[in-house]
Amino acid sequence: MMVPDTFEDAARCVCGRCPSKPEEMKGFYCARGESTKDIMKRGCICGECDVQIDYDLMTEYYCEVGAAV
Amino acid sequence: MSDTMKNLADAFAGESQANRSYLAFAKAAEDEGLAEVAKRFRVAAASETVHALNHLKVMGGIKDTAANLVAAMGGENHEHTSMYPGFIEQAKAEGNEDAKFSFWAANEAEKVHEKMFALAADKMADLPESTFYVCEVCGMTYENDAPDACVVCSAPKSQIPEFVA
Ligand SMILES: [Fe+2]
Ligand SMILES: [Fe+2]
Repeated sequence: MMVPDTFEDAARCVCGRCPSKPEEMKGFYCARGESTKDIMKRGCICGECDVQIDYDLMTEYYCEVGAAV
Repeated sequence: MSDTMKNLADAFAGESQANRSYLAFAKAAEDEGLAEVAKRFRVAAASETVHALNHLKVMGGIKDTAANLVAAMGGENHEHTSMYPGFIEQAKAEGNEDAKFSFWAANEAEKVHEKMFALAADKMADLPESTFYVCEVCGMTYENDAPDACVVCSAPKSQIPEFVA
């Protein structure tokens, strides 16, 4: 399911706590699309995110694969 | 505008920029364990602040608070309606993602700042006492409650500390 890019959902995003998040101001990747940085996979916490649960998201590493569709 | 008024404006901009650059350089020096170098950057930064404020005062850039709020609103409005939207488009066209997000993050905060100043201009002495939070990563500004994650940059709440004046 697509995740709308709203501040309401962005406020619940866990990307900022993720060990794999590259250093950049972008986050909320499941809504805003993938990072253009190289992703060092040190674990993915998308599964713990309320946004993931509410929108029935199944994938990991949205920072690499891009926005949910 | 006379040459000297233009020079004052240029000097104010330059001194203001030097202040912020030196504070960033001081932090970098501290990270490299160079405390005495950092101190010199902070000393110069403090001095540049005095210069900048002196230039601004001589320019007539500091008025009463009602007028200062109007100036502040105008600046914030210009940034989020004209300056940053153009900069964001340009950064996109050039494929500079980091610049695009740096501009976009600032743009979102400027909208909040304009509203904050507009309410201040409206209420003045009757403003309610508020608590503010500023995201350390992107500068997004929150009144009375910080979200679990910064809505702009996803930084966690721990990186959105209460602003202490
Ligand atoms: Fe601002
Ligand atoms: Fe932020």
